Amino acid sequence: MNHLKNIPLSIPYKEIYARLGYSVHKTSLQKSEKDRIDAIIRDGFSLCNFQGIYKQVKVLSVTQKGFVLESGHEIESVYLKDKLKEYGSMIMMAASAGRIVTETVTELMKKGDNGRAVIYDATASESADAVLDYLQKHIKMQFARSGMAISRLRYSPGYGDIDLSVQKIIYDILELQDYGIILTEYFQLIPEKSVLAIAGLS
Amino acid sequence: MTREEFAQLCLNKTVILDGSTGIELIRRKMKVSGSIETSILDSPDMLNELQLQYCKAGADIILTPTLGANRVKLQEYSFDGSVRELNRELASLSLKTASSFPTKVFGDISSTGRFIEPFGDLLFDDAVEYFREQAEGLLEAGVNGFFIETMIDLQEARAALIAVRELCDLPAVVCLSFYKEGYTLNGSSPQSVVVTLQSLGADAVGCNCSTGPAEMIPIIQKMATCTKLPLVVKPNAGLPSLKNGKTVYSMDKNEFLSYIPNFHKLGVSLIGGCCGTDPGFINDIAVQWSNKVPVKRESFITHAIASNRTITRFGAGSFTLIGERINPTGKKDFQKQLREKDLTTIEIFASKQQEFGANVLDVNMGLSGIDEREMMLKTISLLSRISSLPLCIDSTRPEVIESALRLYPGRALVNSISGEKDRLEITLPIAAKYGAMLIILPLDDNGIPVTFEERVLVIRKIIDEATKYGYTTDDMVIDGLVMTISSDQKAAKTTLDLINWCAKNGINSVCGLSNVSFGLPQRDIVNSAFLALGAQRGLTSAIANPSSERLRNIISSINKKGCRI
Repeated sequence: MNHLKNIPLSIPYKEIYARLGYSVHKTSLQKSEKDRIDAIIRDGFSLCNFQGIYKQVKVLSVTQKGFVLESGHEIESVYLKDKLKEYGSMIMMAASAGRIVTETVTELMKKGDNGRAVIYDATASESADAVLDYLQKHIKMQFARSGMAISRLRYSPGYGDIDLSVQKIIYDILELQDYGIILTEYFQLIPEKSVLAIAGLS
Repeated sequence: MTREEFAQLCLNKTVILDGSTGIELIRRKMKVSGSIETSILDSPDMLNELQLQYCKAGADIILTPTLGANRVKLQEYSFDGSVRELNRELASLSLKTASSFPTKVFGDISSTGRFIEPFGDLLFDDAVEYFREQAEGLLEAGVNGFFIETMIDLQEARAALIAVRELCDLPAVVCLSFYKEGYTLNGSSPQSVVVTLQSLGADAVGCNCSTGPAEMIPIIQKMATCTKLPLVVKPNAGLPSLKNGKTVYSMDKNEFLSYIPNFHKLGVSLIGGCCGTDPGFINDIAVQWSNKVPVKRESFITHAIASNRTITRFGAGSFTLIGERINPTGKKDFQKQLREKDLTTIEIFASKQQEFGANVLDVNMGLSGIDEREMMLKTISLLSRISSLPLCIDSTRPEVIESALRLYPGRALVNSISGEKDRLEITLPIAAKYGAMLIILPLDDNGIPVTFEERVLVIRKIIDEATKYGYTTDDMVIDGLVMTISSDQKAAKTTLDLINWCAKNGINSVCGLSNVSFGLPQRDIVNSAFLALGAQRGLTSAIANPSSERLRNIISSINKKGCRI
């Protein structure tokens, strides 16, 4: 298991603004407004505590429906099979922005400061995705020395025909309970700003 | 090979490095069981054949097959042998192969794959120890130098370089991996990488792996602007892709070679290949470029400090504002927080000062009743994560400065080196070891000289001492030593004369601005007026509170007009 703490991310402003509905061609924003939003984004970002966890799992066999992994798990997804069938291994990844930012969003909503809450929420969501980007690059470097390559794209449960229940498989393989992440019976992750993904490893 | 011999070699010719080792051995069907490094010991003939081909191809330097032979990496493969011995054995194989060629062998060191403090949980000194263990094995085998490469984190590269420097005085080349966006994975710019590593004692800097040659050109361009050191490139043969379940690199050797003239024009001195390259690539590079003298770079700046993300230049046409707020003197609430080890105010001071345009953050933890060293390290760790600004380490205690400089993931400014015996004999060598830039304070054991001439004498003495450690005046900022005008109105003129002297001698200057108005009403007006007077005389930086709008306006005017240096 590989665990990275305090991941030194840069703030993904572009993605945060896009999530907030900003469009370069349609949205008009005064400099003072943009400065104010940037400052709130920075505040929200400072509340995030980024961590990433990943593990390599070998593919035992490719079936008609998907994959059988060396861990004994079976993933059923024709979509994922089509994308990753050439890779001999999978990389299971988890990223989290931590608990504090989510709790602060809830508090802000209670106080009626919904604008700030929405910006914090977007900041945490996009930053958690940026952690996965970071992890992919990090993994690429770690395996490159062995002549191995990670797939350019990653895939998350809920995407295509990858059932949300695959969250449980990734959760178990990564033993995420040891890193303060909880998976509910409805496959929801707590802290909320946590994301899971699968990539291929040749 | 001495460091001087290495420097001379890089001046006289384009130094040819080897290509891929690990990946090429795998491509040649070397059986891998566990780590590549331990597997090589089971197939020494395959390594010998490959490295022989590199030597015959014209490589001036080949690397030992020890990229991942550090304790942390080997633990991933449950290696329970001696790391030192493994490195010695692997290096001996390369040395034996190269023995009948003029080719030199450099000990290869790379990442542990772990995050090092202040970003991760691997202690900095533990990382240094792991690299030292590896370097000792390489040194015992008799390597001619060290090649620290494929680092994705500047702090880890620092740890490896410190380990090598604490062990020997052989040449040390350091390469980081940058992404196509132009930064390392941890967000370091090419400029911050070279400013930091150059000051720490690297003999050449550059980039390898991660991208092909095309993506490396803008990175090398940026590096070339702020280093006098030889530059290195070791690109991949393009970007990897998957074909029929195998990783392949997109670029053939002709396309690879077509980029070399770009590197030559930028003054690159050492050229080789990384993933996807083989002896054929190196042979063609050597045939075409081995006899070419690297283009001499004329214009670069060295009067700069760096955080792990960006650099701040002194002089160079812009005024440098050093934020003074992270200092408990006269701040009762802040003092109380520090005694409770609460860093909240530091976080606020840092972000506000950055917002108001500070270029550097001064950090002073001098307060009775706290462990200054502990709080300095905590603050550096925090600021390295939350702020992109370089730091000025402000302390009178050498042990605090030493710990701070060792941990700081960049090149810091030390505040300050005076002509006092202790500062010259204890603090100056510490600052020199970590390559810190210096604020020179014109006072000595006799106190603060009254006249301008006496102050210049003290400064000359400090410069002479610092020069013995390899410093030049580019690495120094002279403190005008501002005294309060409420007690001595002539003191301000002495400071202005000293600032003027610095400007005439091409040396950067600084002053602790708020000292001038101590005990006076309307301090902001007095400070700002004095700043304008100083700038007129050539002042290039000030330690001040950036929240003053009046002060910021004056700095804005100075920057429009341009500083003298």
